[in-house]
Amino acid sequence: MDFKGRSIISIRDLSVDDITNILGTAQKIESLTSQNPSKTLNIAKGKVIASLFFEPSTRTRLSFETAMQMLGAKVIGFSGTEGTSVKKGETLKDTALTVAQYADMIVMRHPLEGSARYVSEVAGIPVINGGDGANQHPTQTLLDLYTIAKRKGKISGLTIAMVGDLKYGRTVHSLAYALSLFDNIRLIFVSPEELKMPKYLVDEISKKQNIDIVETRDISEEVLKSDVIYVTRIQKERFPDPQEYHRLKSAYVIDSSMLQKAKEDTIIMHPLPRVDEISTDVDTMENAVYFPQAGNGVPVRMALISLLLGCDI
Amino acid sequence: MVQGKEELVITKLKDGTVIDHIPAGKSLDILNALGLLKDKDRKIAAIMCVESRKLGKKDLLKIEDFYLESKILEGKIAIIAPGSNISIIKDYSLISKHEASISDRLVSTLRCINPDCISNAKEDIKSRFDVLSRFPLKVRCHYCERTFCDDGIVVHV
Repeated sequence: MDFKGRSIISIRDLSVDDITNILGTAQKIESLTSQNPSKTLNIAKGKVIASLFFEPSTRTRLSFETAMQMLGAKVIGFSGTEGTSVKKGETLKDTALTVAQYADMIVMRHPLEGSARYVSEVAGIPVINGGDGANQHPTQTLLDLYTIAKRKGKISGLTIAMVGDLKYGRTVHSLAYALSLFDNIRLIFVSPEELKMPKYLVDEISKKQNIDIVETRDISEEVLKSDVIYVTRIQKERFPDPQEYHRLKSAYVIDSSMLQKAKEDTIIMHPLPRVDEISTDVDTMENAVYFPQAGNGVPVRMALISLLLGCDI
Repeated sequence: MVQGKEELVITKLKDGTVIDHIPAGKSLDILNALGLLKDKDRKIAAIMCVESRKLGKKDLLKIEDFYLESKILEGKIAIIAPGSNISIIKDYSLISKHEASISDRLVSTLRCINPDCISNAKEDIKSRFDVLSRFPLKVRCHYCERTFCDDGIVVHV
């Protein structure tokens, strides 16, 4: 499907063909930039992209802006609303309509859920959602899929374990949904009872064909033998009782001794920031891919921007 | 006007809308959702908790000079009172009669109960929900993408 002029708001808007197309374009872009000493492509030269971060972000904003620069586009925008008209009470619609006068595309993060969808409906230019509250973060899911495909050579047929806070983490919700679109996926959800994957989501993805779902509380040998172990942070603020938090937190820590039981080619992923849930002694292991995973955000976001702007690659 | 012990007779409606087969106790919710509870100039007959072969007990509304033709309002009725019938009357004649139904997408019909949803912000925005299933009713907010059923479904008033 032609991406030109489209917006990327939710992983639910994408088909398997769309995802395959985006990942293929990212692979092509990564190959082209690695061959080019300046690492730039300049295929979006003359385009202006607005980077509107209404709330703080480290990886997402930096990797988006890196992607924009590497494509040769000009970047305008803000990080935090201090000093903007938003502080004066301007509506999101008015901000979007104003920015659309200057830019060819909007990349945005906003604390309200559905904000990116709304802006995509009123702005008249393509919008990429860089996170709308607890709802969606589709480019994180795409870079997760890209990392899996790059490291494992495929997505279909894999066993993926998701460990930690599966209740509140939008990253694992979107990733689980996206993986369910592929064939013969086995998903192992590992979490304390209090932080289980929401039932509505388990019910929804269970209905897909050729998917196998297991829910467990322990990091068992089966979990360690998965193709991918996707770890998420258990957040302290989710627990009224600090002792309960410390007890659960320590039960979901991945360390190098534990990974002796993993397959040689099991990959350990994490959306970052990491706190204690992956011991730093894992960082030097071949299995650890979480920093390259963050790096994969650049070619994936370059691919999305160029597809939506209709750039020739 | 009450006739005998068992029968309740209301004057025939000349022009307007009759909503029948309303589950007992829901008629005031319907009037509220239609914005008619505060309409002091409109004649409305609300007949409540009368015998019904189909429902056991039912409510019935006769609303004068009001033609329920909006899909938004019909969607609200179908959600509050599933199975209700809507009849349009003109000059004592029945012009149309059908069961209140819900379209696949509900616009300006429901209110999202997620306080962090953009549809609850001070923006020029209409609520939109996709109907995932009708029996039981399950909907997903177009904006925050949350799925709601039962008490999570709140009609816009």
